[in-house]
Amino acid sequence: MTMGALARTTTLLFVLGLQITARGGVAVAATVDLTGVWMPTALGPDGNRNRTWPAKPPLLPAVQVQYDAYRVLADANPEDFDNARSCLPYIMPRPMLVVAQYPLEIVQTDGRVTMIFELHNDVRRIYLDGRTPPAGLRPTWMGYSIGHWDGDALVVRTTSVRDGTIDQPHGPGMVLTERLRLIKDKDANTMLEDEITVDDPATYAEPFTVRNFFRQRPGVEIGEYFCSEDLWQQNLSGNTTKIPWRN
Amino acid sequence: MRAWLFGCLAMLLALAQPVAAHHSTANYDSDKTAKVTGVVTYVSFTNPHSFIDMDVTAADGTKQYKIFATSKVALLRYGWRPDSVKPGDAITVEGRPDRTDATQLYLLRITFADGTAWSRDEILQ
Amino acid sequence: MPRVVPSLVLLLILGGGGVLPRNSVAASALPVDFSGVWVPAARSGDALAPDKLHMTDRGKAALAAFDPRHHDSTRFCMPYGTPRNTLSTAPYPLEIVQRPERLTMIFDRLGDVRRVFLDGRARPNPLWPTWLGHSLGHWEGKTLVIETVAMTEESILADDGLPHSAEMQVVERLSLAPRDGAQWLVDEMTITDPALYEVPIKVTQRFRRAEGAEMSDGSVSCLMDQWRQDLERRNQALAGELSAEKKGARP
Repeated sequence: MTMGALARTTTLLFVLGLQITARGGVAVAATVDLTGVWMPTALGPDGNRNRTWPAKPPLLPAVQVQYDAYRVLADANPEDFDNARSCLPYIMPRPMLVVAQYPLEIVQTDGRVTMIFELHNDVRRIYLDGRTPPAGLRPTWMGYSIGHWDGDALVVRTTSVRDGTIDQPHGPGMVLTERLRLIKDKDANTMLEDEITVDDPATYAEPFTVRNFFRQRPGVEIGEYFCSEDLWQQNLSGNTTKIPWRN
Repeated sequence: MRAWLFGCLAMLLALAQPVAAHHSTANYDSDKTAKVTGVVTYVSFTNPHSFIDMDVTAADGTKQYKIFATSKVALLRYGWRPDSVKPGDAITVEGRPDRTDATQLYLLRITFADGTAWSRDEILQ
Repeated sequence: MPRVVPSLVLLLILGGGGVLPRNSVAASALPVDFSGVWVPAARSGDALAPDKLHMTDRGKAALAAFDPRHHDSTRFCMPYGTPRNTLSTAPYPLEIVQRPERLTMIFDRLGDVRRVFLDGRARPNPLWPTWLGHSLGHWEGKTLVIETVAMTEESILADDGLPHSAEMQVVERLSLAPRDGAQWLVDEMTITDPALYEVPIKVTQRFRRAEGAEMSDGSVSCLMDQWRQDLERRNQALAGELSAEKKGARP
């Protein structure tokens, strides 16, 4: 073994040693750091446009009827169905499937991954400390997320997601399983891939998988997106002009 | 039957969630663009959407136009300053007109009072 | 060499493991780890009483003009803003998530998220006022010194409408202090705003570690009332109670 090879090997083993023992009680090999501010990309790693939701998800017939009725109404009255009025938090998995240029921030620390979304200044917590979801949880926008490392992938299981969305229908028993990984695109640039499997036998005939992709862009930080700001400014200026999308 | 349907639809409305954080663009004519020059009378530089009121003078008199744009956070990130547009500014706007009201435009391009220009393509990838 | 390598390998693995504390690559690089959930303690005395604050005429005028219905951002589901978020003694927790290069404070109401950059970056140019301000931090031993500028004039310092200007600067010295057998987070804050206050304001806010407590589950949103009002209106439209007149009334 040459000196150069030995040096590289010893460095590698030292780092491996750090990784193996640094994870404390959670048995895991080398992990990855997902920390950063990630901007959604419309294009996947192969350069093709990526769909983040199936054109025709496998809805059960009874749910399909409801959904079709809603779509007829929404398409006929686009102004009335401008849902941006509500500004409520997005319901999982929607926060992870944003394609518009609103980034998410991942802060990876011991036993936790914290996600902060520019839309709508929402926070998601993923617990990596080996816990199980507490009993009697109230369903929430983000659900309750437990994660663990599987090689270079962060695997996250999310339950207890509240109702309130017809665009991505689901019931109280929905289980989301995500795999978050750093990958390389066709030009060898780093991307974050989030692969989400939706499993809800009360709503869908079978589980299905969607993906979203993100890139870090230099100098980008989460901005201040406070969705009721237009009402606040109207109040400050005393301007009685109605805000058009809130009529 | 109708009452039942109404009840169902009301429930569906209760479940309605944002499809996107943007003002629906379905009401804007994607085949047409209009270009107007005028003076700004009011600016709402805000989240989730921004809009600019401007007075546009043509041969047939002065009309108020309403120009819609995306969120403040996105505009700031892609080239605007908080003072890019102020009441009193002379600006030129190119946008897609609303299908039923030609004085409402969805902003595609703008020339600010200082002569610099900005295009919505800055945001699209 | 080949005989030595296996034991060298073992030594390196153990050595590499022993260098770091048991948990977290990140935590090892922190002089102090403020991570966790904290609850603000009531303040004794009243460092923010207006009559003690040597306000300038402009400051007094701004305070006199305060109307809580119109000038308190929290009534519109807007954030508290910095430093009001850190000085509030309402019993809502604060979660700190700390890494070597940044410290994040998540306030459990109205979505105030403060980011303190610890990576030695410069102030952005241009730097526009925001609700949370721009915070840079550096260590002085076991104290984290945080300097915040560029806070919007639309925020207030306290519920009674205490004003500040866009030129206000806030310096905080964050440390841990054991007291009565418990861990406390201590924030010694100095607010400098000569346009409104002749003398810098000094106030110390303490936080008690909230053992076993977590942030709220996020099942309630400040905007839900607004949502209900919008829903009401949309249901009216569906029922046809609003006529074509409504469409004509669009601005």
